[in-house]
Amino acid sequence: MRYIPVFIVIISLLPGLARATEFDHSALAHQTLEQHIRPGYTQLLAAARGLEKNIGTHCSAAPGNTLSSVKKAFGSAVLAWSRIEHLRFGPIMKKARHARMVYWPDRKGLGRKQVARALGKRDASVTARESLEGKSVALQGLGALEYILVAKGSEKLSIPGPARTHRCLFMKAIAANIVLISKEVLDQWSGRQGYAATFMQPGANNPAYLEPKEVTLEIAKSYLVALERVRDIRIAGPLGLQRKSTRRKPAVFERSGLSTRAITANLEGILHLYEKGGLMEHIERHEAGMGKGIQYDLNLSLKQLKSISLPMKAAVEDPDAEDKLMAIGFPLKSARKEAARVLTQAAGLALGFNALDGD
Amino acid sequence: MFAAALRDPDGGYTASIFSVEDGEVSRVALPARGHSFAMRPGAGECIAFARRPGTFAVVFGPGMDRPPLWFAANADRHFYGHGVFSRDGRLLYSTENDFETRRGIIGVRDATNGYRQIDEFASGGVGPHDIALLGDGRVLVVANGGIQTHPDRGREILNLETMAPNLVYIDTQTGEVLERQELPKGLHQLSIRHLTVARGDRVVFGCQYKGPRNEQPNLIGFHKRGEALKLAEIPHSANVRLNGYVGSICADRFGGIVAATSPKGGVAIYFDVSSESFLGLASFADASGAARRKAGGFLLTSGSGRLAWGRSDRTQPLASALAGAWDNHVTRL
Repeated sequence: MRYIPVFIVIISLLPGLARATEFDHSALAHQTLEQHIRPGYTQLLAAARGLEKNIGTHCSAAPGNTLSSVKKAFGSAVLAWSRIEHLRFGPIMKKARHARMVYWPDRKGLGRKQVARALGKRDASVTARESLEGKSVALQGLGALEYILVAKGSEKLSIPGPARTHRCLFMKAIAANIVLISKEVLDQWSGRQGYAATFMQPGANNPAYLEPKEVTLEIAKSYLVALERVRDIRIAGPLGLQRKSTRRKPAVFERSGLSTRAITANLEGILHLYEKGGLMEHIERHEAGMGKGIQYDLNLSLKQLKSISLPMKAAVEDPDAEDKLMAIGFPLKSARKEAARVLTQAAGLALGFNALDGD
Repeated sequence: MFAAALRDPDGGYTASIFSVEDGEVSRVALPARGHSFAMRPGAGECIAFARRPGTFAVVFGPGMDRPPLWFAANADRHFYGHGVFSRDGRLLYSTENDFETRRGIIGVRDATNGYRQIDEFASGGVGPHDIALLGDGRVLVVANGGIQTHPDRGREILNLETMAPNLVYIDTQTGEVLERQELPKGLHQLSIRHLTVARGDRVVFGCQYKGPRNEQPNLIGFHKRGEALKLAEIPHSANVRLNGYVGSICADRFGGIVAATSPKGGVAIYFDVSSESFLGLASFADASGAARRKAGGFLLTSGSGRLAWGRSDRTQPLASALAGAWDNHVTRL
């Protein structure tokens, strides 16, 4: 027994080994789970239930002014989802749940066409959650609900009759579907079983993570890919600045005017993952000043986004707002590149050009 | 000379033709990330394809006395990044996605007429990726990766539970599927992605596993027409190093040795074709492309911008005249 302390001292003096043991993968996983993933999905479930309740109230009463409450609850659900949308691993990626929450981008307007068709012929199969679940993903989530609530014909929600009844049942089915998806995902992340166990106990028999650093890679990828999507798709698309096309692309949740707020919530979610989830602390520990530098860039971008009150469609036509949106690109790019650099070194991650995204 | 796509230090994308000794010979700026190349026999030109789900392709090369020629996939199609020419250099076959019907497609274009598309036929599966011509010059072999994607969803796998990869042989004269081979049940998430035709028309393929991480099926397979697909026997410790992912595969100039790379594992791995046996494995960080060298062995490229001369028993670094990150493949011109 008395040799053991000496052995530990020698091990800790070996620089290569010391570096490898410095990054506490398990602590990062624990913090991300407790402080980011669980709170995010808890808020999503609460917002989904609020949506379901408000739709129920609106639909069970005579048409009145309750529709504004439904729209408000819809906005809350969109923002709750946008704050956690960047998590693209675990239960949300099973059973096409991510696409069923929101089918976007929808280049060909499949969602619009399918919802319009279902409304037009008062399709009975979209009026119950169970049957809706088996239908096209574009009919099942927040995008479909947005169409029912605000697109042409939405005034029927305020006029008694079979059209209103059908719309109400369709909305209820979508809300129930969103509640169930949120609940199933949260259940998987709660407690010690389900995906939480997979996430927290990497090892040779783990179906997703063989080593602790693979969990760190999953967290890092979520952060890096989310930043890239916000910058290069969500913002550059409507600006007409994508490499392959200068045509202005529609923004997410453009129909309801929630586009800028949804993108802002995307960035809030990324910042939350970075700060509360623990990436900042780990980056700061390995390169003093850099953790806070990245935080500064993210906050700066967020502040600029929040100062834009126009939805994206109008913002990209407004010189002031357009300038701000373009300027955000630089700190967002830096926040991604610097984090990738430090994490590659500090956590020994394979974040290489092809390793991260080959084919 | 070789051709490869790369990401420039300033973040732009380029298709480059270069030699190890003399550096770059020709280059074209690309609008987005490129993937692989098809060499046109006897013409000194090649095609750089967009990476999936891209839609552009560009013809360029030292043999061309005109500016680069661009062409695009048809509406409702995108490229998968691979293609091959007919032996006479007249027709170009490319793997494509008919994403509305989810069908894999082989597009046929006439190189003597501005690469106008003249035909297309079914690839015999979903998500065709790599493609090559057998020795007779008439039969194509296609790796249908089995992964369904849609450009609106980027590179997301839409059919993880129901994937069905296969290896298909197609008669270029008729478009008819001559033979379709699938992996045994239980390996439906083993995406057959890249392939090379080695000596005696032996097809060697490299896979990417999309199933549970704690399952580690062998990722390299051999096939001879008329027989069943056979996964190579790889020492477990070597197979683990591939990290579930093979990015490129290539036979050497004699067709007797095959190299495969894994960027996720940071290794190159070598096999003897006639005995289908494992020869060795070497570390090479973010290993990406592998192409046969005239002097024997392989030119290896990496996402961190390195070049090396890879052989089963040693990896020798080579000076690179180009700055940037090498993309997935390198092809001999």
